[in-house]
Amino acid sequence: MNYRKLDPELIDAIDILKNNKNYSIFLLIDLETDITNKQEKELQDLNVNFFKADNKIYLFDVKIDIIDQLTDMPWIKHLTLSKRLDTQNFSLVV
Amino acid sequence: MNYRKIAPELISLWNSYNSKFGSLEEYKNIIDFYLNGQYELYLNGIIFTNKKESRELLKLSGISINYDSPELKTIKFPINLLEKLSHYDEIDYIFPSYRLSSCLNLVNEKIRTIPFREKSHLTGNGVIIGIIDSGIDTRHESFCGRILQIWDQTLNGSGTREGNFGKELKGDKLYESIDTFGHGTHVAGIAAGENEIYQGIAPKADLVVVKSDLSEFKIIAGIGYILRIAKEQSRPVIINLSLGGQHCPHDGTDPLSRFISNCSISNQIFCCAAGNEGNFNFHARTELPTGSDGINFLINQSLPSFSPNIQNKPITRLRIFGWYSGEDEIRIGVRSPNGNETPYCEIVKDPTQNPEYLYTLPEGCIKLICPDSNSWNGDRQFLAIITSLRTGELIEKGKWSLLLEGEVSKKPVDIWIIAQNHDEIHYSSNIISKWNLSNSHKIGTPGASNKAITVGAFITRTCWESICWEGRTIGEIEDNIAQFSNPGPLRDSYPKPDIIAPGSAIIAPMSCDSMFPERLKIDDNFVVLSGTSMAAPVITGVIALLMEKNYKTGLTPEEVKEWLIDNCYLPDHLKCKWDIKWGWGLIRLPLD
Repeated sequence: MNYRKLDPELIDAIDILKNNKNYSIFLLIDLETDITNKQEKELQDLNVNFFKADNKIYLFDVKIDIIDQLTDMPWIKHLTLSKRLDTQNFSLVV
Repeated sequence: MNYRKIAPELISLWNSYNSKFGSLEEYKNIIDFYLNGQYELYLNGIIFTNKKESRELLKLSGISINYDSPELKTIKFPINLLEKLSHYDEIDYIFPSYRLSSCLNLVNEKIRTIPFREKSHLTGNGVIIGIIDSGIDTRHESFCGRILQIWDQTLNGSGTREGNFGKELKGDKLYESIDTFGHGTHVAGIAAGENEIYQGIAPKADLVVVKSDLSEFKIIAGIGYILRIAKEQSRPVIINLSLGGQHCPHDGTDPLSRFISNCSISNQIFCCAAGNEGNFNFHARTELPTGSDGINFLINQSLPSFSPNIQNKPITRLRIFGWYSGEDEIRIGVRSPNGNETPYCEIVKDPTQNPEYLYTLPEGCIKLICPDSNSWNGDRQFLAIITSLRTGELIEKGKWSLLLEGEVSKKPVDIWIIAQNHDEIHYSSNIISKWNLSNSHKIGTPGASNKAITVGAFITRTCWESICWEGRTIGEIEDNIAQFSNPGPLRDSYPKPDIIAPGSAIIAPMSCDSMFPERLKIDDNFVVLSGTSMAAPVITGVIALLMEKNYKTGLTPEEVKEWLIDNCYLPDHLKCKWDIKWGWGLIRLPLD
């Protein structure tokens, strides 16, 4: 595992889910360049469900135990855990 | 005619109607009337009555009664009956029904929407407004026929090209998607609702809606979907994001903010809420050395709060995000309320070694993650996580400290503390060190996107009457910046927020599937909400008007920002061009 490519929250998530290897997780992926056909094949072989956001950002839906292999792929720069955001309405009524 | 029983404006309308040279044009936006054919004028009115026989009297006169109570009735009548009505003893007084859009909806009054639109003839026609939110009430009268498509990511289905989850809905299938939270409907209504009284900023813009669980993964997919639809129809698009998170470097380099910046090109504009954590002490900026005290924060664990501005919710998990320059190296540790400390943890420079350190103190479990500098902004970060010894229980209350050790820092260190009560995120950890004296650097993702327009909130209204006829208020000062609105700038000093807009007690469409408490409801169709969530769609609507104006030439994000900066103002006492809360100022639409 190349921990340098993981954001701290993803490292924490991997630790929490270490006994649930089949758990799927959503990731935001930074790439060097757009994915090639060969790289697409690599991801398909690993059963990675992927969607293109733009040329350098992809969305991966992967099993936890695949992340190790993804960090070894030189064309993947960084893996960030997808977090949930909040709506910005403010509740303050008396 | 008994003129003592008739409101002056109604007398004036009567005189104009009966005069050869009178014009009814000046009353069009003031009094609720209409012409039946060329000459017969009907109007809606309100009358005070003193006898129950007045009901029969009105009916015998051929006048229809809408609202009927013993002392007050609303009626529709031909103006030719006005003289007859004025002579009835049972009727005390006759008012016209006034058009209230410019008064009740203070957003439009404050930013001058109505005169701007009347002068420019802009309505948002031809522009797509994208809403990524909790969904939309497709049956609400305010959106009739203008919702083009919905991607409901929460329904079972084969999804879209951008993600194989959820269901794409069009036409008569739109009704399959509902908005049970109500936030998305309200936001869409502010930007593009069409209603006589509570009108949105761009009432003729079309809507493409993504109903999402608000995870970054699905938001990015939703953005891609909206942009594709707009491109397929060759139409300009402005996407509203009234959502946010604080788990980021606060410099626009997080994936979502970067994606938005990448997608911000001509005719593709983004508008984001600045966030509502302005009152909470969850950020500190420091430099090394901090001394033996570190950065202290107080866990109260839901003591009763007498100030409505202070959150005091239980905390089961605490995350401390730290960001600093890649030129510095910091070792971190944690001290508990009873003085127990973890060791100081080094940065883990070997990429194959897990940078996570785990410790168990008597007061709780501490996880410290200290990776080396990352590849996408060159900075270093750390993450400290505090949980109870037993999963799900409350963290020990008292004064905790984040300890920082290293050489004298070249640049500042920023930390943000995010608390959780199980799944609910809040900001109840109160930093009490001297290092949080400046309330700043709280704009998270996606408001930190450099190319998006980031909007803070202004207070135009603090009170209203709810559906139960009870007066309600929010604890803010009118005609001022909202205390809850997040201050900037970004961590790298980039100026954010960009602009502010009305965001308090905003009345807008209510989803029929939502469950708002009575105190927030105006009637069965409209609800009051506050937040930078409400301010952002005001600017989204304004940008939609601009995009309509520049339909042929297109509009870049830079041009939009420049126009907004030219058409906003700061109060005189600030004596600056840009402020960390006000941004470049409060939007004020030009009338020349």
